[in-house]
Formats: sequence, C-alpha cells, structure tokens
Amino acid sequence: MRRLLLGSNPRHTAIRVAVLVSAAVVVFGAILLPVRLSGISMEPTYTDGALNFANRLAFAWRQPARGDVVAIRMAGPSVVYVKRIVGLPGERVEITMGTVVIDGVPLAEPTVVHKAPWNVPPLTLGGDEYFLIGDNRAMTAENHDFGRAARERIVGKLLF
Amino acid sequence: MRTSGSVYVSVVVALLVAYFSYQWWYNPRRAIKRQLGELAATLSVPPDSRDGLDRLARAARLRAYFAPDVRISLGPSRPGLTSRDVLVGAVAAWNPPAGGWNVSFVDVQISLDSDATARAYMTVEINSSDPRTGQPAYDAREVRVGMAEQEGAWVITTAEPVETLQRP
Repeated sequence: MRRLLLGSNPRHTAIRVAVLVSAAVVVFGAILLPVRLSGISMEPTYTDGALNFANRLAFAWRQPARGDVVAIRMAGPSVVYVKRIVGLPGERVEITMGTVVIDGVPLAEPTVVHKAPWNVPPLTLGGDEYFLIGDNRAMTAENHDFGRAARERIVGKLLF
Repeated sequence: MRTSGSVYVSVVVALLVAYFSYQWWYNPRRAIKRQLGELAATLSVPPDSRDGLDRLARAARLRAYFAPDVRISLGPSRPGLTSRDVLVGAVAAWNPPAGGWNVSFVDVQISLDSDATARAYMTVEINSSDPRTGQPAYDAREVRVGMAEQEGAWVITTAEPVETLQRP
C-alpha cells in the first residue's frame, strides 16, 4: 500500500507532486480562469451550465477583436459576464430591428440564429471601450445584459 | 537553556495570538468584512421560510447594519430608499420566493477613508430556485457602499449599484 501511494522512490514522487501542484496553481491561478456559464444569453453558442476557461493571456500581445467571446469581470474575477465583442473603441454602434449596425454598416453575425426586433439608439464608444452582447437575441432586450465596458474589465478570451 | 527556550516560544505564540486577535477583532477591514458577511446571512432566506414572523424578525435584524439616514440608490429609473425605516419597511413587506434564496458578497474590496469611514466595492450574488420548475436561478450585481463606524459598529450609510455593462 505504501509503495502504491509513494512509488518506488518517495523523493521523486514528492517532487512530481510538488511540480504538478505548482503548475496547477500557476495555470489556474494566473492564466486560465475557470468559468461556468449561467443563463441563456449566449445560446446557442454556449448553453446554461457549460464549463469553459478564460485565457487571461489572450490579449497580452494583441487587443480584443470583434467576434471574440470574452469574460468581463464584475467587482473582481470571481463573477464574470461572458459576451461577444461586436463594437470596437471609437466605433459608432446601434441596433436596428435586431441588427447590429457598426458605423452605418450592418454587422454579419453568423452565431446569431434568431433576432428579436431590438432597437438601441446609436452611441460612439470611447477610446478604451468595447460593445458586448450575447448571441441569444431571441430573448427580450430587457432580460439580456449587454452594453459597453472598459478594456480593463475584459479578463480574457474563452478558450473553446 | 530549556527554560529560556520555552520563554521564547511562549513570547512568539503570544505575539501571534495578539496579531491574529487584532486582525480578527480590531482591524477595520476585517470588522467590515465580518459585518458584511453577517448582513449577507441576514438577507438570505431559507427555503419555505415564508412565515410572516420570520420576515419581520429578519427585517428588524437589518437595523443593525444600516445607518438611520442611509441612502440606497436602486438605479437611474427607480426611486431610491432614503432612510433605514423605509428600507426595513420595504424588506418587511417583501414576500420572498418559495424556494428561498442565498445572498453572498464576493470580491469585496475595502478602502478606508478615515478611522471611522470606509468604502466597499463588491459583487452581490443571489442564488435561488425557480418556484415553478425548481431550476436553479442566479443573478449577480456590482454594488458600491459607503460605511461609517457608529457606536462601535460599522454600518452602511450609502449603497448604489454599478453597471458592469453600460447601456446607451
């Protein structure tokens, strides 16, 4: 039993365990943020209860781009929104009868299946602001959290 | 040698006990976190706790966590609450969901403005279950609160929601 638990060389086993624990602490503490989705606002791309990870290093070498699904922190990283970026800094965003319009051009959104006739008046995003919205546009706009958020709130990009 | 070693150990243990006692009981940040934790427990409603007496008792307990002249903003489109009595009355009149709910404050960040005033920024999590389907329901909102030490206890003087995603 002792051999089964500690292996033939307990010292080596202890080193392996220490390396594994250290790697897990670094990966899940500093790089990958575990995310469990709650709610239907990202359907059909992500369903309620789906598990995923937000890659905190995704935007270390590039800025968030349109179409990226990102985690947006609330007061801290324990609770995050998961939304898709549709508007980039400086762009003029509006929603007309369910269609997102960027700088006057309707946005093609292949991930959106049904579009309820949402209407959102135009706004121009600030220099560090993104416009974020879920893929489920079949629900009412009142029940769907969306809008603009500062770059510093974006924690990372969803891994898959 | 053994005697002086025991003395050193005793001194170190006493210092550690004093340090942790201070951190737990007297450090204002810890005191505020403890107070907020107790408030979250008071706001939580156990399943099938729809008894009127329970509700009144819970509302009465809330008085310990708010200043008499507390101002609570409910967002730009709704009128706020302007005193503790109004808040307690609103909570007493509110009928909790049949499945109850659990309130918790996470990612609490506290900044002390002075010895007797502080601000806290946190996410309020609410876990409940749909009374019809029994499915778990979840909501979370950011809140910023002002606090003050009054008569030896930290109480909330202001509270306002923070919009994570700002709508036009």
